[in-house]
Amino acid sequence: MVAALLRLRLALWRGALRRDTWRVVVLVLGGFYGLGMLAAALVGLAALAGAPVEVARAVVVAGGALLVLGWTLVPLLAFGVDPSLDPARFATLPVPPRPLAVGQLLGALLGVPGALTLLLGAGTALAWLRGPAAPALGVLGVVGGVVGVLTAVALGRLVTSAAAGVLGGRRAGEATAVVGVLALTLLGPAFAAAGAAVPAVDLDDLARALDVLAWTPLGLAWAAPADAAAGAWGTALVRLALAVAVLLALVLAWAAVLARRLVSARPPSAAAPAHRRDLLARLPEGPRWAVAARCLRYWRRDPRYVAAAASALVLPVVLAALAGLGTLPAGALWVVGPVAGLLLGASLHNDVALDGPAFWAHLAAGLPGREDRAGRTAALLLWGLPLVVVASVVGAVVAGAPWTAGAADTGDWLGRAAGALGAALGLLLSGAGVSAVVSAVRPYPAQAAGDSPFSSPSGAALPGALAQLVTTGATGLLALPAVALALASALWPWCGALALGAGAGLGALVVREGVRRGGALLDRRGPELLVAVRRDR
Amino acid sequence: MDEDGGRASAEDGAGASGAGPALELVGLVKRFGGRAVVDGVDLLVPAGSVTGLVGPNGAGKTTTLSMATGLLRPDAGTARVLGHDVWADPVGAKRLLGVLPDGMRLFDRLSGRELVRTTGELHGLARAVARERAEELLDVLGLTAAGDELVVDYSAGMAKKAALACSLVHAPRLLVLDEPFEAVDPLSGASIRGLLGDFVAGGGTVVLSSHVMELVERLCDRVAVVAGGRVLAAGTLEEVRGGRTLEERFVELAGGGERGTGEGLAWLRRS
Repeated sequence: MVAALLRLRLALWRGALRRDTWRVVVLVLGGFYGLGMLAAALVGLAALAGAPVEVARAVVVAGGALLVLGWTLVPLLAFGVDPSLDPARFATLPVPPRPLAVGQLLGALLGVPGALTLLLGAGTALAWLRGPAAPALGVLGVVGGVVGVLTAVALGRLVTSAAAGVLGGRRAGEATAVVGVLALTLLGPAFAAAGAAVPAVDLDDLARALDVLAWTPLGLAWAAPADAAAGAWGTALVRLALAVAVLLALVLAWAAVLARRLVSARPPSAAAPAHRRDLLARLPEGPRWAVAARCLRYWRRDPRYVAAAASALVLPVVLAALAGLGTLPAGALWVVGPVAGLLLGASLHNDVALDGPAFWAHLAAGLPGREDRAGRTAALLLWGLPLVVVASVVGAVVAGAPWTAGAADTGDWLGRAAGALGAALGLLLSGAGVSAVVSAVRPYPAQAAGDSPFSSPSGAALPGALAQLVTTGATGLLALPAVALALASALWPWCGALALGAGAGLGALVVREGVRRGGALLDRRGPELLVAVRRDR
Repeated sequence: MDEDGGRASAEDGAGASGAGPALELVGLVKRFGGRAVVDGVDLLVPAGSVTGLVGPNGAGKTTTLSMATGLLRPDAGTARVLGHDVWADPVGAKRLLGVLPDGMRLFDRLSGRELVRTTGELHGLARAVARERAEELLDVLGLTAAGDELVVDYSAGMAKKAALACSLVHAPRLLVLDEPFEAVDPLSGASIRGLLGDFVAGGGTVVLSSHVMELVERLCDRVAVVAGGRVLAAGTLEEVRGGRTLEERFVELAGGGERGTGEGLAWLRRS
């Protein structure tokens, strides 16, 4: 069975190569490039044999763990898995899942990247050729390396198959797109943080991290020969046994996923889970709550909304991480809540364009404009308000709670915390109110729901920048009292209570006015908005 | 030109739901960039009738129906639904009106069930009523099994049926359907026809557009031929056909004269 699968894989390969000459060229070039890289890596590994065991261990374990991570994440994010042995294609044949899993695992190693990775894994043995036990160490190194590579491939296949099976083709694509956007967003801050952190990192910390890594599935197989090289043969065998057990468990889990997919070749479309619907059924009745329920479902299911929400949440996390690493002073965390409020409040400023032509349903139902506005705003505030409150409070606690730093007294801290919360509420509510009007004035081109978040619709840049500028400017102006009082609370903590009152009170007023005016605009110009969003497609 | 035909059979069909036309379009005009896509459309749709709007591509059918249903503001003219001016009294008109537009997306991140329920609630139905009607409509249209799948994963025909369910959920008196049978398989087409039959038997009125002449002949008792943004002929099926098939009559009215003589494209024929 396994052999048949491998023959099939080779036959598919041959067929593809015979058909396209350029694939042969790519293959040869890629092969030479890969072999060059491999040779360089092997020379490096051989050189490691002369280095102390701890150094060789650090390089092999960290590199091996990266290799496993790469095989897991890269296909998920970027390329997908080579579909030539896609389990769905075997659905009509009586193929048992376990041989299929093993066959796919070995089949993956028949490709150029797989073969090179396998050689590299086995080649780590070069680093352990030292001392009188060199032959035994070499054998252990090869075994550990091969187990490590197999673990990498199995984990990658398991993750992609599970994602594809659970999410369905479309949703898997969308989920990875969202993750990709977030990863890009985080890349800059991550490098900044890493660069800032390097001088601060203690070598002892690094060694401790390595020790932990060596006991995780990512590092087990790579660390076993290192133990033996250091003389700890018992630990080495335990680690190797664990690594093999992990590999077996991964293959079994993967076979289970395959078994499910063999039964339902088409990944089941993600059904709306019943228990969540019940939660939304607790919303009050009426058209505006129907709009709110629809919007809440979109916040969860539409990648564009998910990406918007995630971007608003990522910034506070990044700030916190930077403060945690010492790149930023802890005091910077005072702004976590206000920044989240500003980003979330502006998230609805082009909401009719996000509906796209589906907006006709509101028009055909004769839905009053204020119901439309109120529903969208309520959907945002229902989760945005609690979130901003939590972000403000957590930020305030980390930034300078009296029981941590011992710097300020409790009354002062409470005043400043109230100030931060007031500014956050003011920015969120004002932003929501302003967005309710702006999105009813003139939608600008937005991505359609199915588009890649990386593609940007033509003609969106200038009007988009303008709309965002107007939204942010008006929001800042309307939230100015709360923000100013919050800033003042740094000097005079009693201003914090005033900021809270201003933020919540004026903010609520702005929301009410925004819903009213935006609704009136919508009543007057609904058909024109529909024409605009249809033309923009 | 269509006035006489319209009035004559308004009397035939008036029995179903009292006096007055279900849809009355007077002098509708829409220009896009100076070109009149709809150039003075008058149409009278008697209550209780099934009226087919036929015409070549680009005739202005969709634009006309969009203006008749409050989705596109006309440059001139009026549209009335059972006496309510669509543009002066939109709420009154839209309560009585069910719409299936062509080429418009749905809120497709909802499941079919959620979509129909939500549409009902947007129309102001109580939640319990919206739920009950959604189940019945999904059942009749054969969507119950797919009710929890997201509409974005539906086939074109399934999405069309979901949209039809949405247009019916608030129990309208006039149904305006743009290309309701496009991409719909024969079985579903039969169930949709049955549904429309029941709707008309219950006193409702249907206006639909289609390219398929056989379908219009089978389904509609009245026809309006639209081309170049105008109504070229309207009346009962018999009046418009004048003893021939609708297709022959349609080709004659809507531009048979423009057809070439067949002299060209010689390179297409094998010598």
